Amino acid sequence: MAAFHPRNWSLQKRLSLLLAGCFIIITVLSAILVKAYFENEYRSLFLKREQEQIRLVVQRIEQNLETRLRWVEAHADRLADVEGLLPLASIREHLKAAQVGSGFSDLSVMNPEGVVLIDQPVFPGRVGTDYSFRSFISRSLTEKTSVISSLLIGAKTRRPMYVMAAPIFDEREELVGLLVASTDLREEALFKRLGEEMQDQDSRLLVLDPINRLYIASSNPDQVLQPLPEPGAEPLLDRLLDSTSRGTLEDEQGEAWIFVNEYMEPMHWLVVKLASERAVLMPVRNLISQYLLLTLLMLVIMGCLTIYLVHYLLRPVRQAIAQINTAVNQGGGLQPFAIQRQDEIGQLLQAFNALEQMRDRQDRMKEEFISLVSHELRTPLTSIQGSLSLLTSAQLGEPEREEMLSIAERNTGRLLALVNDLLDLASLARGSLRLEMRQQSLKPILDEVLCDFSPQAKAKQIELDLEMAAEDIQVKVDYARLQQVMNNLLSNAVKFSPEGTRVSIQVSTDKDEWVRISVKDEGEGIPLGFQSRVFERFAQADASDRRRHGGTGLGLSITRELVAAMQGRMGFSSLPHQGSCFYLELPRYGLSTTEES
Amino acid sequence: MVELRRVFCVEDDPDIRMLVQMALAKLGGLEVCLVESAEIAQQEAAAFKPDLFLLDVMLPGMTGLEFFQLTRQDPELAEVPAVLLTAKVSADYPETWKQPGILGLIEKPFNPVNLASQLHTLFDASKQM
Repeated sequence: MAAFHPRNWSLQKRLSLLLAGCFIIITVLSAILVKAYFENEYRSLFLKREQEQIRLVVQRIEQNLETRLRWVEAHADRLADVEGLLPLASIREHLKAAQVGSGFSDLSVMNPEGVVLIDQPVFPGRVGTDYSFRSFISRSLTEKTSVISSLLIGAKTRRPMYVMAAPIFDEREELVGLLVASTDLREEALFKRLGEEMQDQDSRLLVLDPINRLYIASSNPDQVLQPLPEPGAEPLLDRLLDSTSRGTLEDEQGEAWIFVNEYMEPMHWLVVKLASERAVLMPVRNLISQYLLLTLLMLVIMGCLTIYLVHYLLRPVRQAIAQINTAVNQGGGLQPFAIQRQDEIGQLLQAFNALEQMRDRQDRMKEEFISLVSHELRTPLTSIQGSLSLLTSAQLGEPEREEMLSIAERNTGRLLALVNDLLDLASLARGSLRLEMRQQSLKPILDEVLCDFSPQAKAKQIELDLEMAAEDIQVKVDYARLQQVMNNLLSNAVKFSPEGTRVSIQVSTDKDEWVRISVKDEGEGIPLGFQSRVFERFAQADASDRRRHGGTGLGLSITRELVAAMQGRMGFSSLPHQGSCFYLELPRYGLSTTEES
Repeated sequence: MVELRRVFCVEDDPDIRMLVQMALAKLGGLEVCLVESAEIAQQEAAAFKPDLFLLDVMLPGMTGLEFFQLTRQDPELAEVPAVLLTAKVSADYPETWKQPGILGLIEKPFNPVNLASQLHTLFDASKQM
């Protein structure tokens, strides 16, 4: 299962998948948000437009009613004179003439009690009928104002109609009758026209009469003046009748409808504009799907670009891996990587090149060291083996035999010193050197070292001297190791001093609680170019130096590490042809506390 | 036929010089001149009129091989062949010494008891060719 963990996927795969995932999430999220926003905006815009339209419809209906009412009032005025109502014959003439082209299907005149006096056209049995049971008639009579009825079904005609009543006054402003004008909805052009006008639009217009349960007008011509379905038969319609001014409703198929209502007071009608939400929002949804399609296209392009970019970015890494693998499998050396960029990857490869260079240098140094060590081991071995084979197989005189023995002994010592140096180096490198730190007086150590070197110094006529700032200076050191350090420094000083010069050891103390031991010679000094490498392992100023002056190039390196192991520090100063001064500083022991107390 | 009598040896290690002296002069009966560096050898070689050089390769300053190249331009020494002494420290070393006038290479540590006869063998072989 571990193989399927994303950690084990290639960087290219991970980056590509991550970016692709991000793109897809962003696209989907933005599509959802944009869709929601646009749908909302579009819906409210649509509702606003619908509201305006419905208001216009209502206005048109109301204007129509108003005009008709004025017409009725105007004609009512003409039906009376000073004596009261005109004679029935002239009223009939008047009504006959007025009805033509008026749009009213039925005109009649009632007396102030609400009884029909005359009608036009004549409907048998209507004259003499008392209509005061109609609330609008009695209201018109008592309040003496013109009134519009709500929709009603004619008591005699059985037709759906609305009726206008205008009081007739004589010249003394006495109520003498009522002009009643009915409009047969089946002949009313306005509603038909409204329905037809709305047919082309994406929403349906309905004018409903909830009281009589009738379609007054509809975009569907078949419904006009048809009764509304029974409650429960068409739930959408039921809900519409119950609803407030605007909103969304669902029909039985679960389809959403957007509607706007307006209630018309005098007629108790409900004017409704109804539209399928799907149809209304279709443009938005088309827009979104186009947007998604376009985004998908861009996503594919972006995906390709991303994959290419990641591929391009990681190319140096792949090349480097291939180069390393080839080098490892074929065992050849590793060529430095070609650096074409300065980004992090370029920097990494550069760092790798530098590391590889350093490793090469270390390898070379190690090889040089091994070759040097083997040479240094062979030289005393040659002397030992040579002298021993001469001793055993050749006829030698006594002085020569002694000479051979001393050669063997001397070179055994050289060999031992070299092996010890190597062991020290190894334990210093491992950090496993054991020191026996004890409080010591400095002078005996230095005296002993000077004593050891006096034969060598004498041979080169070199004067050795020791200057101490105080007789008794205490330090905490490993006796043998400090001796080794001083041996190294003195050996170098004597080695590099010309004959007849002076090597001096100075011991000074300072307030900072350090003891400084300096070893000064009057030799050639250290070449400027070599000064930075003085303490490097295996380093010697000149390759030939190691033969001229002996040594492995390990002495100063070992010395400095030993001093550091004893909590001290080491340094040097040197000018060409003016000699060198190597010094080491050790923490002073015991003295500072007695001074303070 | 020329016989090997006089050997001029350059070797920086005093103990090995002593062994060579013992091996060639005392045991081999040859006349030997020993010096510690190629620079000194340059000054003294011509006067000694050697039949053969015995040269340590790794010398302080000028190496044994460099010294040998210089002698090729010296009319008095140009014909004197050389045998090299080496601790054989470098793997590519054998290629560089194979050149006219260098008869052979003796590796350290060498056996001083056989050194004189080794030199005789190399010297005689070169003269017979």
